[in-house]
Amino acid sequence: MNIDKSLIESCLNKERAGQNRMYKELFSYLMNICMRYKNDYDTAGASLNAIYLKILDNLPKFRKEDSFIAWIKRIAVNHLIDEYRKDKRIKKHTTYFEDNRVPESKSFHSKEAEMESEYLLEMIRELPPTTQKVFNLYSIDGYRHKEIGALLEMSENTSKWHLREARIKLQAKVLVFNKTEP
Amino acid sequence: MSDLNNIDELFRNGIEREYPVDDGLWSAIEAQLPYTSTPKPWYFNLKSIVLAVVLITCSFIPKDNNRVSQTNNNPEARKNTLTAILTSKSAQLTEITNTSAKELLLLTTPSKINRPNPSAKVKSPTTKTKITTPPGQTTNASATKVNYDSKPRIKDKLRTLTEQHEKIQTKENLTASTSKLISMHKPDEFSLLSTIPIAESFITVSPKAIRYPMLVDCLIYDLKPSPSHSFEVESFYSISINKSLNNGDYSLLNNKDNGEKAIDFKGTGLNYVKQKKLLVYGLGIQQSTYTERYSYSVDLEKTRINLTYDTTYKLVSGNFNSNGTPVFLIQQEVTENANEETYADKGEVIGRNTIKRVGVPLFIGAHKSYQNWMMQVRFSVIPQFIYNLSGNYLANDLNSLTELSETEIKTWNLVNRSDLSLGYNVNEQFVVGAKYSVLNDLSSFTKTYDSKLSGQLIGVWILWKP
Repeated sequence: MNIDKSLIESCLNKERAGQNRMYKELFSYLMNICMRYKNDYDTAGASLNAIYLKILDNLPKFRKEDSFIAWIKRIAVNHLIDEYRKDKRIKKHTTYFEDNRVPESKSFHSKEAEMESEYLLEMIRELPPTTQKVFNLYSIDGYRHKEIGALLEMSENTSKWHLREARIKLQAKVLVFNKTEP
Repeated sequence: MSDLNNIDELFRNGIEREYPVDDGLWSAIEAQLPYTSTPKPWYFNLKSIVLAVVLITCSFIPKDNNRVSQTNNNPEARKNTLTAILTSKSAQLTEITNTSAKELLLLTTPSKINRPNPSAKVKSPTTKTKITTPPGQTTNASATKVNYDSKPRIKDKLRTLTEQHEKIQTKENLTASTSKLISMHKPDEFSLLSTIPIAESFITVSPKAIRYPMLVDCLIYDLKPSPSHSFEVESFYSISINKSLNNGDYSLLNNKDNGEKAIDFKGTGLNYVKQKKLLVYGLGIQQSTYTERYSYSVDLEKTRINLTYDTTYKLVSGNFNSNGTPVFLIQQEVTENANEETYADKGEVIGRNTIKRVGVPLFIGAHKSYQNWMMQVRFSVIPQFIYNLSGNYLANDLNSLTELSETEIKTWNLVNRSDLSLGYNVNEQFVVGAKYSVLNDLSSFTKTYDSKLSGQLIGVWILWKP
């Protein structure tokens, strides 16, 4: 990812070419984040676009002495958590069903030595929604339990409990995967 | 447990991948990208909405300052107020009727004597009031100045007029003509008798007042109980709220009973209130939020630093001997290793459960007014629909949490509320007041066991009488 000052300036001046270049630079990074919080590529893409608009809107507020990547990551994660909260309000009676389906065989057998990222993502997505968010925030994005508690409106201990649940469930899934791997 | 830590590492490194730029997504966003003009701030729109609401509300405020009726819509209160004013004015009335009797103008017609004809032109030497003929109306009556030198003659005339008028009045529908008569006269046409208290005194004190049936009608009409319907906005908050749990697994309910504490119950509502004499009834819509705090003891993941020490010995020198005995110099090295490890232990998980409901209260009650004060007692039954849930409940294994969902919570439940309200008539249209309510769930809002709320609420309300 190559985000230099001139590119940021170009976006600040609302130049379409600069906006396009910035989009291309950030796409993979943002998509990686979105794919962890969303269930499929389409919804992740929609979120990515919304995040990108937010980044452009807030670009004048970005302080140049800060890390640009850390700044956009915070915007992205906050946006995704907001969406999660909104979804939670709309889907008032969300029931979690344990999804025991076996992932697609091409993903399962395509790699021998290491697990494919798609399969790992699938494992995360199979977690209950809140547990999934806590794991993403803590283990992948490096948030602390206190911050997670504030973001997801829960206590620190609840966040810890979700993290433990996530780790136990993921470990079980990894073990199952290792056993079934030829 | 260390495997659990490795899980983080595995996923952190494993899920990263390169995504090629999607041109379709770029096309979708391109149209929305800001590049020429920035959109106006959202509050511009909000301000416009607020301004529109204020203007619309203002347009509903009545501007009629010439209302004859008393401001209070309540017939009882109006009657009381009128009686009080009439008593104070009765002396003034007697004086007026006595002093002006000699100069009283009577309207006479050759064929019949009717109520005062609005088209008659009257000249009065003392009051200098004029009744002018409205355009388009012909003058049928002639104004005659009567010389009252003797009181018996006046009395005879008045008695005759009264009798004749009573006959006519029975045949005619006075209600229909009242509004016309009032509207045809200027405000100062009956300057001596134009106030409500004087007119009322004429009805009760002097039969001479029969000359002004339009005012009498007006008062009679005004004292009739008007069809009373109003809108009430209320807001309430619990001063005490409790949740009772029954009919379920004992250990689960015991744990929940100890771990859950109802915090508050609050809400707002809009009611349509219909009043018929002492009876009030109606229906409304209300939104309420119930909040409780939970504190469960479950297995938590905790971290600790595990310190280990590695001790190594190194031979520094072996060339010494002491009286033939070889001496070795050995150096001891102790290395401290600090490893963070995770372990499971019981811990308190604290959080809040929120249940939001929307309900349709159906109520019936009694209403009593005294002057500007009013009191109401109401009994409501409220079918409630639960539309939003957040939080966790203790699972059946007593060691984990489950998110609140419709597997545990019922979609509908029934609530009873009894209200005692006290209000004050601020003006013709608005009554403000406070209320005390007792709330009881008639049906459980959980599925596998019974959970019912009971509590006491206090609230404020504003009643608008359109």
